[in-house]
Order: sequence, then C-alpha cells, then structure tokens
Amino acid sequence: MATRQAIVSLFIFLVFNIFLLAVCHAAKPSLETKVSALNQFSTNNNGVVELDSDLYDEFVAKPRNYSMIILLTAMEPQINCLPCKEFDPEFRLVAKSWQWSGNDLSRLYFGSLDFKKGREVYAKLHLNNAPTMFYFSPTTGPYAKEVSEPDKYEFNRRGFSAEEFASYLSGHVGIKVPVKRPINFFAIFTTIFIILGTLAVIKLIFSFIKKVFQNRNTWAAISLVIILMMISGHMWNHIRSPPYVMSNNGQISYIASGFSNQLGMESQIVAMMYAICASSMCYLMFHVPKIEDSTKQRFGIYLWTGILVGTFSFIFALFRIKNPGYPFRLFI
Amino acid sequence: MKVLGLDTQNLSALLKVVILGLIAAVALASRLFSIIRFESVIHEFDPWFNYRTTRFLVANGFYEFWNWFDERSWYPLGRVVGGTVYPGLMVTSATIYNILRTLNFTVDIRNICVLLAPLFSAFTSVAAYLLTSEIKDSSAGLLAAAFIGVAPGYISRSVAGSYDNEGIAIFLLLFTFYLWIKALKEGSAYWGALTALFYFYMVAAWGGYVFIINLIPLHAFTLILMGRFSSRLYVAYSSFYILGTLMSMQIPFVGFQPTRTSEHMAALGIFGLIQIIAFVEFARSYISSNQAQILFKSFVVLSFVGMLSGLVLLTLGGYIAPWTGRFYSLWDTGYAKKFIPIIASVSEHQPTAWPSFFFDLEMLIFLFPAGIYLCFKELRDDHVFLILYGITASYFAGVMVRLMLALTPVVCVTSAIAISRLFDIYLKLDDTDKDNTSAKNNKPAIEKSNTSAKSNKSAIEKSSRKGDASRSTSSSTSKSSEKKKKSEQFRILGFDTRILVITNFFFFLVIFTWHCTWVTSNAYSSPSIVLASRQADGSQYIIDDFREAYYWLRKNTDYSSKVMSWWDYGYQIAGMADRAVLVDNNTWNNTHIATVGKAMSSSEDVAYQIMRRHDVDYVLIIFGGLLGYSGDDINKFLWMIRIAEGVYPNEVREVNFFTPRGEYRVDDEATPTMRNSIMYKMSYYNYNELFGGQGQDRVRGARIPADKIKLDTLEEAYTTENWIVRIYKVKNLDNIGRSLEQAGAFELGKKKRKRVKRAN
Repeated sequence: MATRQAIVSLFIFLVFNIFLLAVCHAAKPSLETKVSALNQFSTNNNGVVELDSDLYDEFVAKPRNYSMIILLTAMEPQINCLPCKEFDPEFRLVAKSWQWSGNDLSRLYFGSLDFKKGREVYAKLHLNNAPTMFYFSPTTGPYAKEVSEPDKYEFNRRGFSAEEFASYLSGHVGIKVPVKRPINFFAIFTTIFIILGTLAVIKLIFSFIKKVFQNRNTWAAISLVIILMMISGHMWNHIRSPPYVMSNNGQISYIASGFSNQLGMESQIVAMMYAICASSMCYLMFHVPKIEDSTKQRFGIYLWTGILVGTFSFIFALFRIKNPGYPFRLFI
Repeated sequence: MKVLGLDTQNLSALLKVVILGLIAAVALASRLFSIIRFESVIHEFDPWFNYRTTRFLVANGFYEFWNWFDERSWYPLGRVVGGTVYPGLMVTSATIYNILRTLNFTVDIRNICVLLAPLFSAFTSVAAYLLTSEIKDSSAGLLAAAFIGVAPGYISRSVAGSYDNEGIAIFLLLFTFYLWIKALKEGSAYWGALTALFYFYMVAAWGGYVFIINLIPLHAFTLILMGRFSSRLYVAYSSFYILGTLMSMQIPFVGFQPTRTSEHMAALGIFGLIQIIAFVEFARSYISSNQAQILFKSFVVLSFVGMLSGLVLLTLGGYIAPWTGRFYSLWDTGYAKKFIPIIASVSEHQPTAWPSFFFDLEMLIFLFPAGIYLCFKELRDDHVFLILYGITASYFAGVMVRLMLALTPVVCVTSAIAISRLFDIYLKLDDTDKDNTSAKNNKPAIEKSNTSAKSNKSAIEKSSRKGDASRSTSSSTSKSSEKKKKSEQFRILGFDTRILVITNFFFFLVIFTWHCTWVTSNAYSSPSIVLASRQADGSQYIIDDFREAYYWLRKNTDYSSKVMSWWDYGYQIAGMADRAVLVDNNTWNNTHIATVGKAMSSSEDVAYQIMRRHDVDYVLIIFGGLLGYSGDDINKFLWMIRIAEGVYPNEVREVNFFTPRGEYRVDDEATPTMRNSIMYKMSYYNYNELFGGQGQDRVRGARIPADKIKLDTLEEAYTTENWIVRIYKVKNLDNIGRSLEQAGAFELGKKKRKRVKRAN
C-alpha cells in the first residue's frame, strides 16, 4: 500500500513537473521554439504570420536572432481604413516574394496584427492610427544589431508601394528583398484583345479616321483643351493632388482660400471661364461679322460682348477671393 | 494726301517708329519702381553672384575671367567659375561698360548691372514687334510690343536690379524665334546663320537655350509630318543647326553636350532626317513611278525608326547622357521631390496654381487660346510655330512657376494677334463699301494685301516642288479660294455695335495696364535684401538688416574667415561681405550642402566637430521670429533636414523633428532633437531675455520655452537691429584642453560634476 501511494505521489509529482515545465515554456519559450513556430506560421500563410496580442508579445520579446517586420493594421470594414486596404496586398506581395526568393527565410519574418485581435498592443503602444509598421532588428546571432528601439516605417515619406517597402527592408536586413509581381494573364489578354479590336476598328473606318486625323479642327480642339487645362493649374492638381471639393460642416466649398492653393473643381471652373471668354472673342471675330442681317448681327454682338464682360468680371471676382488685397474689379 | 509734308506711307512708318520708341520707354520706365523706392541696388540671391563675377571681369579682363578659380566659395573645394558659368550676361554688361568708358561716360558698373534688365526689356518689346509683324502685321506687332513691355510675367524677372540671366535671355529667345521665322519664310542661309548667331548668344546667356534647341526641331518635324517639307525648311534648318551647334560648343560650360546629351538629340535627329528627306525629294524628281514613291517613303520611315532605336541603344549604352535631373523633373513631376530634394526645395520650382497665371497675365490669359484658335484658322508655317510654342510653354509654366517667363512672350504675341484681328474687323470703316477694299490708301487694306500676297507667294513656292504639272492647278485653287474669301468678307453693319466692342476692349486694355502697374509696383519691385514696411502713421520703415549684417562681417572679421550659412545666402555673403562660404546658390555639390544641413540640425557636439573640420569661423542664420519675416531659416529648416537625411540617413532623421502627432513645433512641445539642434538654439538664443519672460515667435505664432538656452561651442557675435540676421562665432578649442561644455560649466561657476568626468 505504501509503495502504491509512493507510486501515485511520484506520478503526481511527475505530472506536476511536466505541467510546470509546460508552464515555463509558455511563459518563456526558447528561441528555437519561437523560430519553428514562426516558420510554421509563415509557410502556412504565404509568408505572413497572423498575430494576436499574445503572439505579438512572444515574437517581439528578446532575444531575437531574426528580423521581424510587423504591420499593425485595421482591416475591419467598420473602421474603413483605406490606406490599410491599399497597403495590405503590397505587404503580402513582398512577404510572398520573400518566401520564394531562396534566401535564408529565418532572417526575416513578416507579421501582421489586426486591430480586432490586438487592441491591447494598440493600447500599449499608444497608437491611434493605422497602418503602422515596425521593424525589429535581431538582438542575438550573427546579424545582431545594437539598436534596441524598433524602427517605424514612414508611410508619409515612402508611400505604399511594394518596391519602396522592399527597398526599405533590404536596407535594414542587409540582403536584397525582392518584389515579384505575379503576371496578370487576364490583364495581358484583355490588353491584347483591346489592341487588336482597336486595330480592327481603325482598319474598318480608316478613311473616316484619316479625315479626322488630318482635320485641322481636331488638332485645334486638342491643342486648345491642353492649353486651357495647363493655364488653369491642371499640373498643380496633378502634382499636389488636392481634394476635388471641400466640405466644411456640411457646407461644400469649391474655392480654396490662399493664393497658391486650389481645389480640383476650382481649376475646372476657371478653365471653363477662360474657355467662355476665348470663345466669345472668337464669335465676335468670326461668326458675327458674317451675319448678313443687321438686326441679327447687332443682337449677336451685344450678346457675345455681354457674355464676355460678364464672365470676365466673374473671373475678377474669383481672383479677389484668392487674393483679397487685389484692388480692381469689373461690375461685381 | 499729305500730312506734315509726308505721304501716308512714310507717315505710318514714322508713327510706328515713334510708337515703338514710346513702348520701349514705357517698358524701361515701369521697371524702375525699385530704384525709386529703395536705391540702385542688386536684388535677391543669384544676381549677387552675377554682379560679383561682372566686377571681376571688368577688373581683370576676359582672359582672367575665363580661367578664374574661385577659392572663396564652396570652401574647401572651391569652384571653377569660368567653366561653370553662362558668361553672356557678364560679357554684355562689361561690353557696355567698356563702350561707355571709351566714350568718356564714367558710369559705375553697378548701375549698368542694375539697369541691364530694363534695357533689355525695351529690346524685347522690339523683338516682339518684329516677330508679330512677321506673323500678322505691324499693328499686331505694336500691340505685342506693348503687351510684353508691361506684362507682369516678364517684369517679375526683369525689374531694375534683378541682374539675372533671364533678364537678357527673353530678348534673345524672342529674337532667335523671329530670325527663325524669317529664315523659314525666306529660305535663306543668311537668316539661318543669323538665327544660329543669336542662338549662340542665348546659349552663352541662359540654360533655357535647351527650349530653343528642342522647339525649333519640333517645329521642323511637325512641318514634315504635315507634308510641308520644302527647300526653305531644309536651308533654314540645316544652316541654323550646323552653325548653332558648332558655336554653342564654344561655351566651356556647354562643351560637348550638344553631341553627348539627350537634351540635344532631338535636334540632331531632325537634322539627319531632313537630310534624308531632302535626298529623297531630289531623287523623286527624277524617278516618278509609283513603286519608287512607296520605296522612298518607306526608306524615310525606316531610317527614322533606325535613328530612334540607335539613339535609345546609345543612351542605354551610356554614350549619350540621359536627361539631367533638372529637365527630367519637368516630365516626371514626382521625380525631383523623391531624388533631388534640393531642386524641389526651391520655391520657384513649385507648380503653378491658376491665380499665378491670372496675376501674371490678366486678360491675356484668355486672349491666348483665342489667338491660338486664330493661328489654326490660317495655319501657315509660322502659325504652326506659335501653336507649338504655346502648347509646350503652357505645359512648362504649369509645372514650374519660374517658367511662366517662357510662356509670357507667346501669350503676348498670340493675344496681340487676336486683339488686332478684332480691331481690324471693327475699325474698318469703309468695309460696307465693297469697292473701296482694293483702295490702297488705308492701312489695314495695305496690310491685308501684303499678307495675301505673301500667302500667294508661299502657295507658289509650295507648288513649285510638286513639279510643273500640279503647279497650274494649285495656283488656280488658291485663286478660287481667294475669291471665296472675298465673298465671305467680314463686315459690321451697325455703327453702335462697333462703338460697343471698341470701347469695351479699350476699357479692357486700360484695366490691363492698371493691373500690370499695380502688380509691378506691389509684388515685383522689392529687392528682397532691403525690406519695407509701413508704420502705424503710414510712413515707410526700411528694414535693412541683411546689409547691416553683411557689412558687419566685412568690417569686423578677418578676410580669411569662413562663414557657414544655408546655401541661399552664399552668394550674398560672397558678394556683400566678401568672406569665404561653405555652400552657395550654385548647389553643384549635394553632399557639401547636406553636410551643412547636418551641422545645422545636429546637437552642439556633433555640429562642433563638423564646423572645426571645415574651418568654420562664423555661422550666419536668418531669424524672422521677432519681426514676422516668414522666409527665415526655421521655416527652411525642414529642407535642410531632408537634404541632410538624403546623404546621412542614419544620423539625421526627419521624423525626430516632428512631434508624435506629426506637427512641426518650436514651443514647449518641440521634440528634444529639435530643441538640441544648433539651428534652434542659435535662433532663440537670448530671445527670452528680450521679452523678459517667454519670447513670442511671430512667424509661427508660438511661445518659446522658458528655460534658458545654453550654447557652449558658439558665442553670439552680432545680431542685427530687427534680429533678422544673427551671427555666431565658433569658439576655439579650450586653452587647457577641457571640452567646451566643461569650460562653459566652469564659467558659470558650477563645480565639475562627477558625471561629466566619468563621461570622459
């Protein structure tokens, strides 16, 4: 009986010991288990380790003999984080390319933590915007770096493209991180089809196209449209990409304040005004003088002069909004 | 009919000369605001370099100038001035100076430099007159001259004192274009050679000559595509290209670029193409079978494709330099911001919002499309040129504010064509009487017959190359079209409508001149080294801090001292203070500029090392906080950081200068990196003492942190009246080998702390 009791107590002791061991493992897993877990996670999921708060703490904890880039994102539809959605495929593309690059995969891991699963991390890091991305450099092993702070990826400066992200990683890890965009066969076929279709259409209506192509009015229209776009600040819009209109407490404003600032709609309004002025000039020069009937001609001249003066004074008014110190005006 | 003993023709010639003279006088006079308000002084930044080199040229002669190595800029690298400068401007003023000297007018070289741009604007209006009269008629020419004389888009770069390349370059641009149109019309090598000569002058004067050497080939190419190849085009283009290229290679700064860089390849390619086409045309006149025609055509197309692919291969192989960053950024507009922040940082390289167009051109901006439409109505060779010029220049002006300058001439010319066309129609009184149209005694009729004669001539010339067979038919069609034109003659029936339109446009023109004068006087006439403000009682208050500081440097520092400042002020320091500088507005060495940026944005100990290594004696910064002068160094600081980060990405980080919420602040919430940078420290050093509490920064609307700023390695040497310029002296190493921080602590009477010792 005594022996049996001893056996039971030994068994309990053993179980307890194993349990203790397991607890210890859970609290502080060894580097090898971490790496093997990472390897498993990443190979199963095209190179991206989907994290939650616990996993985040585990993989980020020192020591690390690997680099880790962690994207803190928010893909839930109710949060409606457009940049997150924009960057996510690019991030996964780089991760996948890394998987197939033939490099030593244990050098770098890609982690992604969604807001849904990692509120604690967001709270701990005092993050209130997504996406945010941190690079953790290895602390032990041959590639260890002395830097202890994780490096934050600057989305504002570098943007969302996979190429830029990969070059950032290459700089930090020290090996070239490739980007292999998958070949989009569908897009290629559609392009070929469209080109062939267009060529066929061109062949069919060649005489008509030739007529249009050689018509000076076509070219006049193209040139005038280009010029009107340019002189009304299209290139500014193209480079600075301002909002089309601005809504301020429910009120939509079409005009931006400030001399060297404009909205997308605003430049279109201005282009339209210029076009009206220029065409009323042209009507006064070409159309009206050809009218044989004197009453009709008189009416035409008064009409176009009126339109010209009205539009021009509107341009003046618009300009006075942009430049309040401007002293001149025309009627309004 | 005779007036003053002159017949009408002579009288109108006299009138034209008088009017043109008056326009030139107005163009010159409206640029003198800054002299009257301030004084005869060189403006801004680049002009100071041009002024300095001109003085050198006048003092030492051309030979010395050509070989000048300037060891007082870009210390310690120096700069080969003779080989890195467009000498046209300096040589022009030196020539004027020497001519006046020989005539015993002892004019100061500074006054010549100050007045050179207004003088050349007067010439520009004459060039605009010539170009426009060549394209339409002399009344349009006079209008164009008047427009360009006062258009703010051009005045912005040519007021008295703005002694810069653009001041003479716009005249050269327009005059070269005039000569090109003339050469193309006459088909003469004489005019072609003259075009090349003025092109050479343009190359010597301004880097914008690239615009000419691409626009003229584009014109030639378009004419070829339109099937308007002619012997006139061949002669004009070939003579222009060969002579122009050979001459342009004489400028050391240009050198072999015309054969080695992509910017010039279009011209070379068109030159080759035009030779092939000329040969084919020649051969075609002997062989007339249909198959041969097809063969010739495909030969031309094939050789064009071959040349193009050869060019691409050579570029890829590295034999031809690709487009340089400055020009490339005009196409790929995001390029500069990413790769060459130093180009993107310049305010005049920003894109243009619509108010700037209106501000610089006012009513002309909508007459411009109308004029272009008019060009399409007639579409002779010279109209094609105007159209191409208009499209390209409006694109460039949209991309860069600075290139508004290149757009202004074509806008003036096309608007003048539009307005004068309108006046032709609405002022022609005898139009109702159809018989009088042929009468030669009124001016518009003469002009009209002239132009129709010209177009007839060109039609005949065009037909001459087609051979005799087609000749008769083509001339008969041109006659019939003329008849048709007569039947469609424009006429205005009512008198009241004429009055309406004429008064309306007269009024528009009056507003235009008001606008131009207002803009010139208010926006473009400030020398920017002397500022003016109004006091409460309305009297003018002159802020002369810049010159005060530079003069202090000149008088109180050793001649061999080196001054470190941001590159914007390099030329001014070299010109006014006559001290060596580390970097200046030439910006040829990005790394050197980044080093200065790094010094400015680092903490004292890092910056001190950099400054010692570069032998810096004084640091000069611009601080606008007291006065509310927004163009100061704290506002430019982000660019310094950005440029420094481009070269030293591990040592300077832009993010560290932003608060966690992404704001750029100077008050209590400023980041530690910001507050430790010597730029911040130098800007606000002793600033709180001025207020006797917390200082108020009037530019950024912020309160400066209350704790006292300590500077160990720098000491304040001079601060100007309004605190705009602050000069610091870099301390020497300590006499007894302590670090300067320790010495500073000792001076303050503090005991050496153990912690400091351990750090050593």
